Amino acid sequence: MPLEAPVEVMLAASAGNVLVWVVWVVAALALLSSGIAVVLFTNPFYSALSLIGNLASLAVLYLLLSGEFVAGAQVIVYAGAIVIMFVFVLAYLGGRADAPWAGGPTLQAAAAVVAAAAIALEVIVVIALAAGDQLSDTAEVTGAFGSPAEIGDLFLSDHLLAFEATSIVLLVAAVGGVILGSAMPQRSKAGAD
Amino acid sequence: MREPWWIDVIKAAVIVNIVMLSFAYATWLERKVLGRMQLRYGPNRAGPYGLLQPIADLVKLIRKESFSPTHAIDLLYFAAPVVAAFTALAAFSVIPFGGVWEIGGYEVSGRVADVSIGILLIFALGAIGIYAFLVGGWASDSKYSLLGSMRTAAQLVSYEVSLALSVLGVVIMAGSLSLVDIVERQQETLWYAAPQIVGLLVFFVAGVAETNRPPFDLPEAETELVAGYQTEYSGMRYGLFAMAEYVNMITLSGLAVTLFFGGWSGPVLPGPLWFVVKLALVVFVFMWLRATLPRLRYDQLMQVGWKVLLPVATLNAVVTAIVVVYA
Amino acid sequence: MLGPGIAAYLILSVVLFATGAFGVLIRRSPLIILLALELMLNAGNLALIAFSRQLGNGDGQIFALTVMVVAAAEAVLGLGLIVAVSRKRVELDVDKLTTLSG
Repeated sequence: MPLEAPVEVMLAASAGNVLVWVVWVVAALALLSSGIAVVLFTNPFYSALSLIGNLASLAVLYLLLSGEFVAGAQVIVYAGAIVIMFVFVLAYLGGRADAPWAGGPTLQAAAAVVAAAAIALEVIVVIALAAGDQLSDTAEVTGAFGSPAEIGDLFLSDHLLAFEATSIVLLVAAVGGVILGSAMPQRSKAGAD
Repeated sequence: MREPWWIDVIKAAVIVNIVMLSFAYATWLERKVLGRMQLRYGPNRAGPYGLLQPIADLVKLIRKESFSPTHAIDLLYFAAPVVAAFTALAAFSVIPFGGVWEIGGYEVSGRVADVSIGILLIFALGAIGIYAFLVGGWASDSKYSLLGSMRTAAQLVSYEVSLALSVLGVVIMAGSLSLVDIVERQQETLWYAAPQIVGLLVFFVAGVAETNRPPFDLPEAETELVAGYQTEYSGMRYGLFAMAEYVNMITLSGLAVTLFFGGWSGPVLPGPLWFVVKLALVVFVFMWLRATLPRLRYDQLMQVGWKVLLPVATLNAVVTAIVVVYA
Repeated sequence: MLGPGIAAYLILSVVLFATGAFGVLIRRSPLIILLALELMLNAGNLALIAFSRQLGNGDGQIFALTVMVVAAAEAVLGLGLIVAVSRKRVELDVDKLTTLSG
């Protein structure tokens, strides 16, 4: 920051900056704690509810990254449809608790911790080595970045194939879901495996 | 001078209070309207014309004992009505009720927030509101509550799709998802109720189902499911659920006025007054439907949602898109 | 850009991904494995949106929306499979669901 910048500009910029930092820290803490809660709760219903908290804090982070349409779509699609499906199935099947560490720390649990930490460390190191110096300069974006108009424009011009392909994927998934969900009487007589 | 943040806070406080007051008097209006349509007086004992009836109801609800079932999961059980009321009230922050005025040197706009994804925000809040019913019913640890909340959630999710598609025609004609832009475009061209009459009808039917109002109120019907997800709630917790339902109805009426009837625009009177008048008319139609139509059965309800409303809304969107692009 | 730089968002994304991976490796109920899988997909989305903002290119957001759609489709089919399996009164434990027949 140049030393001859007026004081009011610096104060105003830092006030906005402080607010963004506070929101970021709260959202990041909520994200990580709800992520750990999803994985560690024994009752699957509470895991699904923690996932909602996770998705909401992700939406806040997307808003901080100027992705307004993606944030809205995230809440509507993920939190408002996918997790409702999960909650439906969980209420239907009953929350059977399973405690993976009930019998004390097993080799599988220790190996899982090591594997997850290794993944995290490896990705951080690779990105730092390959693009570490490019990560500090962020491009300037206009107000139209992340707005629905720009997303629609990109979907219908550069990425039209992806748009049409995902609509077919959705149709196939819907048909598959109906077929899997409908009761098939001749199979249920085969008995439990 | 640009609108400072504390004006937004004041506006938000004023709007929340006005909405809650209109919820109270919407209950009074409903009982009066239903009574008169059924050839009887509504409440007329508590104050002149029964105008103090909402206050009497409020005092009764607050004084009632708020018990909870023994095995209910406390945190979720208490949080569910709060989430329902919160999402219902928060949706009002993007609905514009007036143009821009100049008050005391500050530029005061007639809405709490103008976001470029206004309609998406309202649907997102509606999606979160579904969890309130689902979790409230599950956390009550009662079979009637669970069944009721499952049916409610299925109904709400089904009609939310048709609601969103019916709005698509308006969005295509206005070219923006922001509610302020939609009102301004209607001022320039034509109220969208005329070209989008099919969209308006689908929106209205889906809206009645989204807010659990009769004739789509099977999840709360006492003769079917005791009281659905509200079975184990009493006192002010039930009051919060009822508030959520009425405020949802008011918000949906506000959205209908904004999207199809020109929002706050009108010839002579000031903007907010026109908005209130149109809002009151739409709310009256909601109550009229309650007084007139019998309740739909659950399978009829789901069939109407998926087999009738969804194709009609899709066709409306496609025809609107073709007309807008080629005309 | 106000607030922390892109590196902070990327570290968040990586930690979330590792948490999801840990969940997939250690839990036995297929429902919770699906939930942890959603965590991993969301971590990928966060990285995509962060890079999209850093480069000022909207393609990352398009990709993130596509990932959301595919995750929805996958959740539908995964849950359908779980419901179909549970209808046959088989215990929902991935250690025991090892054969395809029956």
